[in-house]
Amino acid sequence: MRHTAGHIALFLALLTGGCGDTALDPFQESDLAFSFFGFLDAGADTQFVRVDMVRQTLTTAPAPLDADVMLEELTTGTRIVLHDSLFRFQAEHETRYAHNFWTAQPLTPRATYRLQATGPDGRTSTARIALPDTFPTPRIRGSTIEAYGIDRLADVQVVYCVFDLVSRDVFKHTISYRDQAEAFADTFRVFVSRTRDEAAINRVVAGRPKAILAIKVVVAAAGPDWPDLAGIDEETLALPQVVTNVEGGVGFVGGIAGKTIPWPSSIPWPPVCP
Amino acid sequence: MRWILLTGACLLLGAVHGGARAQDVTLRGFVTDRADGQPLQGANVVLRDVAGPLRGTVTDKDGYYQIPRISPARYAVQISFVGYTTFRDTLMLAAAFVTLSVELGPVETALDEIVVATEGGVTHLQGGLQTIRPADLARIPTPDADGDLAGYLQSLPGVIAVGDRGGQLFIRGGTPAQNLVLVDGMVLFQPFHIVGFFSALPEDIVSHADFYAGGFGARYSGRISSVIDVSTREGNKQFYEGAVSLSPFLATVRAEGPIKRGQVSFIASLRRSVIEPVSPVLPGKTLPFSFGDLFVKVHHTDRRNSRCSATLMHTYDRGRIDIEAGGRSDVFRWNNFVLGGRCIAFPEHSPYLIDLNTGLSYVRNEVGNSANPERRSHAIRASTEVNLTRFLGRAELHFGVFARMNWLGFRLGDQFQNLRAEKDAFFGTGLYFEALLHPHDRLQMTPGLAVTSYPLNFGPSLEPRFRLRWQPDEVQEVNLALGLYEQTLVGISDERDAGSAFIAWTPPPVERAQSRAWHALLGYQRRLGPHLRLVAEGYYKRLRNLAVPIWSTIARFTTELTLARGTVYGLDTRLTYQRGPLYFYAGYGYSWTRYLAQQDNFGVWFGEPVQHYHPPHDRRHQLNAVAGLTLNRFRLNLRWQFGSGLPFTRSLGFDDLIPLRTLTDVKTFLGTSRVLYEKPYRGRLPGYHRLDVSAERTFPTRAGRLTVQLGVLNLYDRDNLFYFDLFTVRRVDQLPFLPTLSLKFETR
Repeated sequence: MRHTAGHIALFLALLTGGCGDTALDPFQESDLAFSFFGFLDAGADTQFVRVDMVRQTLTTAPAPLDADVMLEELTTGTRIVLHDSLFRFQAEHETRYAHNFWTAQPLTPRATYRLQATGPDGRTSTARIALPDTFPTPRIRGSTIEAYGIDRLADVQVVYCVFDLVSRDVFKHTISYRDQAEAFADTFRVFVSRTRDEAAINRVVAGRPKAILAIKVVVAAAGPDWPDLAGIDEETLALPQVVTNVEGGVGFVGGIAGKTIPWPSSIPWPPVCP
Repeated sequence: MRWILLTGACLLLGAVHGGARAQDVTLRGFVTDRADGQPLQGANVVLRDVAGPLRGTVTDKDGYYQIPRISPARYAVQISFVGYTTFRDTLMLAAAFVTLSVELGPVETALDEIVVATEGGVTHLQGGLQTIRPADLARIPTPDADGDLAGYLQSLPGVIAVGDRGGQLFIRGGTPAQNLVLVDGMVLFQPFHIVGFFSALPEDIVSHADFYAGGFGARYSGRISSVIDVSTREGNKQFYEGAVSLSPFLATVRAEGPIKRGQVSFIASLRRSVIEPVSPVLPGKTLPFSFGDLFVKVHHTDRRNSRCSATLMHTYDRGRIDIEAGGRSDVFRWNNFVLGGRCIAFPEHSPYLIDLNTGLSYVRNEVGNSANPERRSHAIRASTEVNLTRFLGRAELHFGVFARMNWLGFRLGDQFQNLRAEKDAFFGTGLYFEALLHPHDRLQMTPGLAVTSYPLNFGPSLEPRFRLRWQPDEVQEVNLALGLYEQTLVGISDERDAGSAFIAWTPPPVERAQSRAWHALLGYQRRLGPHLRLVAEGYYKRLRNLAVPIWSTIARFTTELTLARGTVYGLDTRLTYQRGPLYFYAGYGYSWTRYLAQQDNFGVWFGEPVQHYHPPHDRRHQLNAVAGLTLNRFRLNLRWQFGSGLPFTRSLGFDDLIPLRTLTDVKTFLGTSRVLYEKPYRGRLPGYHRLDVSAERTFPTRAGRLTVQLGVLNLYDRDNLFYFDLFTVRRVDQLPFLPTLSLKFETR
């Protein structure tokens, strides 16, 4: 009888608990601490870099990032502490947040910096960023942008400040001409198609009446470590291992020297534009 | 194409004009139940002359028998079936073809004590084949008064359901779309209801089912994993019968009876789920599932040499797999429509048994928001086949021709980017040949060949098959099955999403490569005394050209497809003990499934372009135990299931990917959510186990019979994980502890 009771107890124990736990941890431990994105601009007066934890939720919470983030100039050892700023983004169905760290300290062209983020548990991610030299202010002749003294081109952008006359929203629309740039020695030449750009903007405003308030052009030279993305499809580019200069984390931070000039016929960039 | 048609025509002409040798007699006919006209499968037909037993055979699933090549003489004929009175007569067999169709009446006394011992049951496993009978279905506790094929199949080793909802069964490493489900010879594309206990095939309408977990013969073509060939009941040809039942999940009405007594009958069954309105009360939270089915069959017999039926079936399912997410989760819908007819006949002067089958099958599948589904797919299949059987002493020849037309339509919302077209159609035709040979009393071999051609789309495929059954003595049996299988109409599903029940039926989506499988099965069964029976069967499958999604790190739905190769092997072992009112069955299944897929991303991602992974239905260990006790009008059933954890892909975390191709201002652009995956399917979900119990008692009343059933699902309330939603970091569990009360009233 005692044996029977023992067998029954063993059977029930097997049934209810002996066949494993029901808990599940869907995350694999890794050494990926932070995600970095953005660029350091030798020509800008303020630097903004995206720094976020590699998190275990798809969504983000509006809390400060508990991390020390700094830039170190590797030749001189000069250190710059970056300040946290929480940005709010309204997605289609939800509000999401991101941390952009910033500094107003000037950066030195041709210098190499190390961006480092350290969490409260001591986990650290670092990225090494080499800045290019500055270059003369580009010229715009008719619809052609000409940039001189650039070894590698990071981007050429035409940025429109658009006023939607129906929704009364003012927004910025950026069109990259990076892939249309023609290189001649250290000169890059880009032909801007305003007609095509307007068509693209019309698609954004779904054909509603709009006004273009201002236009500016951004030309950026790339640092020596800027990746060549030609031939890499978007799917591959999204893989964390494909383009990264972050150790102990994911993402990519590049070094550029940028110049911004107004389109010849445009008014100065209005403050209402983002 | 032309030679297939010519060969088919020759076979048909042979069927009409072929004859036995002039001096021989062929005795044949149907054996049916006098009480209701149902065919009796497994009835013994014995011919005796003055010297004693001479020749014998047993009836097939249609109740048909044939004894060929009898020398003309006077014979005593005896036709018997356990539980029925024996037919005895003396016949002078002189004509070339003699028809003797017989109705056997049930034995009037002591029926409760009779155990009908026909071949079948869980331990009669012959080269992947198991014959399932309604009594088998009744042994599995379900939240309804009737057993169901879905619940029964899930109690078998090698049959995997990834959860208790979704209506998807994976059989010995195959996927749901690789299973061929036939109802009276017609394809039923998606037979299982959204609540996993139920299919469109409940105990009340199933006559029997041949379930091939692999290694099926040449008669079946077009699928590469398994065959579930269901024959439905015929309506009672003598009396009107009816039943109504109600459970927390289902309401059912069934009616049947003679249209022309003894010759034409009907049976109709209508089932509708009630779980959605009932669930707020029991179990206390809304279960957003709605499903139902309609089955109508009219059957005609001329009592001599033909039996014909027309069958109509309609099913529908709607529901949210993720019941916790409410309106935010996708709504899945599917419905099937099947209409067709079947005739078996043996013409007066032909030695052939002719089985003519024609049908139309339709499935529609949708997912997305209920008003405007983002993805939908439909398939229509019209098919006709003629199957012929010729009995030749120690051999039977089976052959036939078929023609199938498939119309497909899909709108996939870019889910599978390889599939740009929105509709397709293709015509296929083919033939098969099988010879059932008995070179020795204890040895049976069935070589066969299926030939399929899609003349406008694909070349012909030759699929050789071979089955062997060897009984070295009275207690042992060895079975072997080998075969090559091809599938042209493929069902694409997103294996990355465990909560998806959507299948898109398409032609081969990648490089027009037809899916292909080689099966090899070897089994051994043994009777261990009068009550105990053991069977073990090993299997090996090689799979080719499986369309699987390409892995991406972007948290999005769309994907491209690539071709994978697969290897499956495993072992099913089953043990049954049956003595008097007690029944016990235990089954253990070991299975190993691995895919090999190549995609460019893998090279960058993991350092090599080819990855081996275990797909999400690769359940390594499975244990099932079923116990039943029947005492007079009381019946107790228990089922315990255990399944080891299914594979899933672990995540390293999430971030927001900022485009790298252009300079993007991090102040104005959030980025695209990105999931950082580990290698695919390296993790395992927790194991699954559950105990279901039901107890029922039958009360005879003046008007009929009332059955009251009490049941409990998940008796010890285990939190069985269905899947984990990485994007919301939320687990979705299967059904909790759920008591049920079912009532059924049957009248005659």
